[in-house]
Amino acid sequence: MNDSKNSGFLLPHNMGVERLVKRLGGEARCRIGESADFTLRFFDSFDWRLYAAGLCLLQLRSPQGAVLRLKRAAGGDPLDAVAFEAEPAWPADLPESRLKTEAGKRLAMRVLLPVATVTGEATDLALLNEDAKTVVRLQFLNMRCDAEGVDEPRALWPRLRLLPVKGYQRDLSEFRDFLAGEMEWPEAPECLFDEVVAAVGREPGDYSSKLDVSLRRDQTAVDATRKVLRSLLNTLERNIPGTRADLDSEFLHDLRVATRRTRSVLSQVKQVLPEDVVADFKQRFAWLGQVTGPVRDLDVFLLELPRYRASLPNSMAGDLDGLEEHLRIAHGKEQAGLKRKLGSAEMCKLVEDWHKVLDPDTLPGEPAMLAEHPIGQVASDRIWRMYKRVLKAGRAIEVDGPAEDMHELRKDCKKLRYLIEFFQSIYPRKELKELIRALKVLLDNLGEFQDLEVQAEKLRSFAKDFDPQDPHSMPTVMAIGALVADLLRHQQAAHDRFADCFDAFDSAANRARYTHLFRARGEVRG
Amino acid sequence: MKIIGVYNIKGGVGKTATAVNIAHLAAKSGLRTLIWDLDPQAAATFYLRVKPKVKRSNKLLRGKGGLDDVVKGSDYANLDLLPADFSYRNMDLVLGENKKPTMRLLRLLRPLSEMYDLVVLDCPPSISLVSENIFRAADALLLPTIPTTLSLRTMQQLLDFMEGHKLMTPVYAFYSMVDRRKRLHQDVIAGPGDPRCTVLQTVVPYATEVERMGIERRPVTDYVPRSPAGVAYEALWAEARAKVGGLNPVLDLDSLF
Repeated sequence: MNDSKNSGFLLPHNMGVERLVKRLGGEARCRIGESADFTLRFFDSFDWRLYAAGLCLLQLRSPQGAVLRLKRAAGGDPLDAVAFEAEPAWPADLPESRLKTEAGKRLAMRVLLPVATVTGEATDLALLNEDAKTVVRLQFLNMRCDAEGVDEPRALWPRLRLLPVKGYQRDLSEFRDFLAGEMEWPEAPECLFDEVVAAVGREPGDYSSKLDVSLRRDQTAVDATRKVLRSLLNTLERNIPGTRADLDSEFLHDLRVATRRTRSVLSQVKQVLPEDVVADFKQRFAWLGQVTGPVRDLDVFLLELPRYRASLPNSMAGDLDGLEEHLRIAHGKEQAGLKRKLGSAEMCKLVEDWHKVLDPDTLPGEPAMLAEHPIGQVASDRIWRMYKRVLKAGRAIEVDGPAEDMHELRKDCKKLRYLIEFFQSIYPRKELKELIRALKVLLDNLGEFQDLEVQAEKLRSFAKDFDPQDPHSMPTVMAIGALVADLLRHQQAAHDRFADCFDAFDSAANRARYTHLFRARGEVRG
Repeated sequence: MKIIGVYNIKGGVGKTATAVNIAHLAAKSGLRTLIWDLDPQAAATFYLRVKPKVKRSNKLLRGKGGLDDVVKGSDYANLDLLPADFSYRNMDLVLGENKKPTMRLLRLLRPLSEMYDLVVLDCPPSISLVSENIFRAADALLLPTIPTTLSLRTMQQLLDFMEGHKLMTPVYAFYSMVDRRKRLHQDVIAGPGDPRCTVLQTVVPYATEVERMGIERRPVTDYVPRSPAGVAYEALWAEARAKVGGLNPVLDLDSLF
C-alpha cells in the first residue's frame, strides 16, 4: 500500500465529474463513489523559514478530522503527520512528534501564519476492468483558493489523482499513458503549494529581513543611498501590522533593525542627502527607535526566560514564575502603548514624508556635496574611515578600563557592519564574507558583554518592584539574585575573551583585506 | 500487526463471509488490512473480484519470492487480498518440505508487519498441517459455529487438538447462520458452552443477503450495511477488535496530497 506515487493530472477548467466519467468511457468503465468536502491550509512563518528549509506545512481538514502534515517541498512521502484540530500557531503547542521537532527547529521564535487556504471537493472514482473490479482508484478534485488580501477565491486547475491498486500496475500505466497521450492532459506537480501561492499573488520568500540591495559602483551616491533606504522602508512598513498585532517578537525586532539601519545611513553616509532632510529624519527615526524600545526589552527577557530557568538549580527554576508574570503584565501594557504609537498620526506622517524623500523621480532640498559622486568611492571612503576609527578605539581599550569604552566600540563596530552591508553588492562577495565573519565574532563578543550587563541591571530593577515583606515574593527575588550573579559571571567571561576577539579582528590578514577593498577605492574627501 | 484466523473444521459455516466482512470493516475503520485466502475453493478471492492465480504459490511457500509480489488491491481503500491459488490443494505437502513446517506461515507473514495492521486468514476446513500453521501464526482464532450438535462436536475436536498440541491461541467462537425459528438453534445458544473457549455475544443470522454476496461480489457490509447480517458483522467486528486489542489505525499519510 506504500508504493503509491501520488501522481495526477491537471484537467481542463470546465471539467465536472459527469463529463469526466463520460470521457473515461462511461459508467461501465468508471464508477462514481463518495464525495467529501475538504480544506487545506498552508502555513509558514512571515519570513518563510519552512520554505527556506525546503519544507511545506499543511493542515488538511476532511470529514475524518484534521491532520497536520510536514512535507519536503521537492515531493516524496511526508516527513510526518499528526492529528491536530486547532489552527497551528506556536511550534511549542504542537504535539510531541518529528513534525514538531523539525518545524520547531526552523521556526524558533516565529509564529505560524496561514499562507493560503484551499477549499474543495474530492470525489472518489474507480476505474474498472471487464469483471467490474477496481484496477485504479481515482480522486477528482475541484478546488478554489483564498488568502488574506485576496478579493475573491481563485479557481485552481481541477485535478485527477491516480492511486494505484496493488497488483494492477499494468492497468495503471496503461491508464496513465491514455491520459497523457490520448487526452493530452498534463501531469500535475506533486504538491499544490506552488500553484496555490501563485494563485493568491504571493511569491515564496517575498519577505526576508536580510538586506540585499543590488547596486552598481558607478551609480550616483544619492541614487544608491536612496535605493538602500527604500529597501529599509519596505522592511519597516511590512513589519508594522505584525508588530501592532503582536503576532510574534520578530516583527518588532525586524522593524527596529530597519529603523536602526535607516538611522545609520542618515548619520554615516554623509553629504549625500540634503542636510535639512537628514537633520529632520534623524530626529524622527530616533523617536521611532525610542518608542519601540521598551517592548523589545521585555521581549528579550521573555525569550531568555527558558535559558534563565535552565541556568538555575532545578529546585529554583519555578521561582521565576513570579518574574514571568511580572514581565507579561508589563509587556501587555507597553504593547498597548506601542500599538497606539505605531498607528498614530505622527507615525503615518513619518512614513508618508519618508516615501516622498525617497521617491526616485524627485529629490526634495538642495543637492549635497557628494550626491553625484559614484557610490563606489563614497562607500569605500566611509567604510575605510569607520574601520580606522574601530581600530583606534579597540586598540585603546584597557583591561580594567571603563565598560563604557567597550559600549562605544560596539556602536562603532555596528556602524561599520551596517555600512559594509548597505553596499555589499559592489564588492567581491567572497572577500567580503571573510571580513564580515571576523567583524561578527567581535560584535558578538561586545554584544554579549553589554547585553548581559543591561539584563543584569534591568533584573535588579525588576527585583525592586517586588514587595520584600511579601512572603510570596521572596523566592522570586532570591531567584533573580541568583540569576544576576550568573549573568555577571558570564559577562566577566565575555570580557576576558575580548582581547582574543579583537586580536583576530586586528590580524595582519584582516587588515590587508580592509586595505585592499576599501582604502585604494575611497578617494573622496568631503 | 495482528493476525486473526477465521477457522472451522467443518465447511459451509460462514467462514469466508465472516472473513471478507470483518476485513472490509477493519479496512473501512482505517486499518491497513490484508485478507489471505488460504482456501483452494477461492471464495474470498471471488467475492473481491480477483482472478485466482494458477501458479506461484508453491514457489511462495517454498520460500522463493515474497508475499508482497502476489498481493492484489481490492475495490476498497486499505484492503488488500492475497488470492487463493488452486495449488493450495497441495499445501500440506509443500509445507511438509520445510524445516519447521508448523512455523512456515508465520515466517512468511513477518515481513508484512510494517505494511499491515491486520491480517485476516480465511482458512480451509479440516485439521491439517495448514491448520496447525494457522493456529501458530494467529493472535486469535475466530470460530463461526452453527448452533447444531454436530457443529458443537467439531468445536470440541478443535479444542482437543489445540490442547493436545499445547497451542495457547485464544479461540473466540460465535454462532453463525442462526435461524431463530429453529428450536434446536435456540437451545444450543442457551446451553453451556465449552469452558475452553469464549463465546462472543454477537449472533450472525442466516440471511439471504449473505448468500447474495456471490452475485454482488461485494461484502454485505458494503452493499447492505444496514441489513440484519450487515449490522451483525459490524457488532462481531467490534467484539473481535476489542478482544484482540491493539488494533488502532495509524494516520494515513498517503490520502489526499
